[in-house]
Amino acid sequence: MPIIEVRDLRKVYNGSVAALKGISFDVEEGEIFGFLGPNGAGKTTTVHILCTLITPTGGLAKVCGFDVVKEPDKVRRKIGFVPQDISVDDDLTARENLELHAKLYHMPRSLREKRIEEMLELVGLQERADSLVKTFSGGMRRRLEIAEGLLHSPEVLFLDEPTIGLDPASRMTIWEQLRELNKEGVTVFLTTHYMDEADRLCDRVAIIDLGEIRAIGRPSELKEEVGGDVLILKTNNPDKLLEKLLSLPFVNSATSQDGTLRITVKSGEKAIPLIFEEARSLGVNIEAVSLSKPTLDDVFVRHTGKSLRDEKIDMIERFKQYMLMKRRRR
Amino acid sequence: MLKEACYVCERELKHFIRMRVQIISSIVTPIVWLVFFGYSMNMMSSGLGGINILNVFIGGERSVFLYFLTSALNATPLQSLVIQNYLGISYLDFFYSGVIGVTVMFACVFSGLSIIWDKRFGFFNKLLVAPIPRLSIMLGKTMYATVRGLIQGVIILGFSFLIGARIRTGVVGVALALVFMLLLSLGFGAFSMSLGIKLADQEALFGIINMITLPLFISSGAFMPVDTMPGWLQVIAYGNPLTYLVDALRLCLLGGPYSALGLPFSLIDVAPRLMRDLIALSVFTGTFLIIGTLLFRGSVK
Ligand SMILES: Nc1ncnc2c1ncn2[C@@H]1O[C@H](COP(=O)(O)OP(=O)(O)O)[C@@H](O)[C@H]1O
Ligand SMILES: [Mg+2]
Repeated sequence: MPIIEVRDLRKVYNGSVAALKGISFDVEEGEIFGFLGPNGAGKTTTVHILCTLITPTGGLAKVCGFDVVKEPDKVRRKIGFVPQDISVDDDLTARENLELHAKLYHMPRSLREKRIEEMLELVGLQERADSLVKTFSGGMRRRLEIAEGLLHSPEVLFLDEPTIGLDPASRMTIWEQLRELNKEGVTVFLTTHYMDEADRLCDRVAIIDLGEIRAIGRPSELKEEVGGDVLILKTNNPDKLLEKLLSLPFVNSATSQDGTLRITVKSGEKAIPLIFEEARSLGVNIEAVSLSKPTLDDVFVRHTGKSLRDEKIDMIERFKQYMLMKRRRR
Repeated sequence: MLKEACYVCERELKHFIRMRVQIISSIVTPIVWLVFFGYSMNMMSSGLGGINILNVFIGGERSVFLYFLTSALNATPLQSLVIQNYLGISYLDFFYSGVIGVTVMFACVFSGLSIIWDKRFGFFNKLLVAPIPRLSIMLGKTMYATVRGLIQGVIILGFSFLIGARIRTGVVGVALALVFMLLLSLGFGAFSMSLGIKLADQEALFGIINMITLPLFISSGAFMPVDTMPGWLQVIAYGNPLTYLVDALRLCLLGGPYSALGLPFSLIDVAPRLMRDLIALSVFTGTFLIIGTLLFRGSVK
């Protein structure tokens, strides 16, 4: 039985904004499942429905076997939620945040302290445990947020854009922690608009745009569908080599332009030595070779006709504004 | 439900304790009033004698001698003034219950801000995701307002006592006063929560609160007895919950003479009027607890 089950899920805001137009997917226990899509795609809406924060307009959603609409309290006991906008309490210390969380989840006092220590260690915040959160950097807040999401040992952890606006080092740390946690058996559902995050972290990815799932699968599979790796070859005799290449079974396509060959193959690493062998037997010299892999962005372009790259700046700007606003509070 | 509400309340109290400036200002402001108004009005009432309306009703013990002096000079002795002055209430005695009432009001009416902030910064969602009864969130925040109102009220009561205001009824009266403070704190807390649930931004809440606190404050009888107000203001006064708290506090702490009921200072004599205040406050508090609960239920599905 899948741990998350979604069927024809729909959400219309205010009777007019169709944020989800009937999505269906399953998440298996123990997976890291990613929702990849641009701003406004419906990622947060999906997470909020699954976390029982909002009610869907139609369709079915089950988490750990419980219907999110009919048995919200049972779902709440099973899940951890790390929201898109950091929401740990600025005016409490890291430890106080965790203590409050532990109490709200009815953790017995004996377990509380031990578990809080563990979580602080997991996210590397032991030394700052008793500082007010308002003195933390964005990355530290995120980590605290994750520690909170995990404190009560949920079966499924939902993370809405967990590394938005963070520097590369902090992002790596968070990925590491999520992998670690996943090894211990926690199912992870995350949303992101970073293709590298979806690619490197997720077992399976759903591409979502304008409230619809456009593709779903392992990142490697999705990328293969685009048409495989691209090899660019410089050679002294392009025409001769091209003819040969077109007859090879592992070559998907090959074109020649100004003495340069552009070849798509399923696996670039495996194809290069084979192509070199063929070239040698033909007596053709290869002067240079470059290999480029398709990215999930290519997948995204294929399925939606637009690129994810344009989104980034916008989101980072938003995050900065948000942090500024937060500092001005009180 | 209650347990979870306590956790929510505990967090709010931690916030309060960390807001040094706010704590200081919320205590210093009423103290400043007490000292400046309380004492200066005493002077005034003694200095101006017969022509001060306040003096007519609440005149000061300390002013009795001066009153005789001035009235002798003016040669317009009003018998009633003399009698009422014998009740021996200084303006400070009259005023401190009012300051406590106003302090309690200000301590509570902004508590709805915390809901707006929590919504804006996502903490509210975090509370909603937790496996706790939905209402415990509102209950916890209202509890905080109540505790805060009570604490600030008690501090001002203590301070008034220190600077010479008198409590003429003893322990029972003080205990009763606390009950009344608690009741209206709860009411103003629930009122503010209702606004907080409905409004999306803090400016709107600030605007509304600022708009209503001044009329509430002025018409409450904190500064002058309701009986001496112009008729139209009295109408407002009797629709104002703060009026009933201020009145109840005076009755509880002074035993009633401020309104010229005369000696002895006993709670029994003022029981009917206390009952009236209790009912008025209960209606107010109950109404807003219900409104707040309904609004909250509606807002969190
Ligand atoms: N509370 C809301 N009221 C009205 N429209 C909303 C609300 N929340 C989200 N939307 C709209 O729903 C769509 C999906 O939003 P969201 O789920 O936040 O996307 P994402 O998280 O992928 O950026 C957007 O068009 C957004 O404007
Ligand atoms: Mg989002």
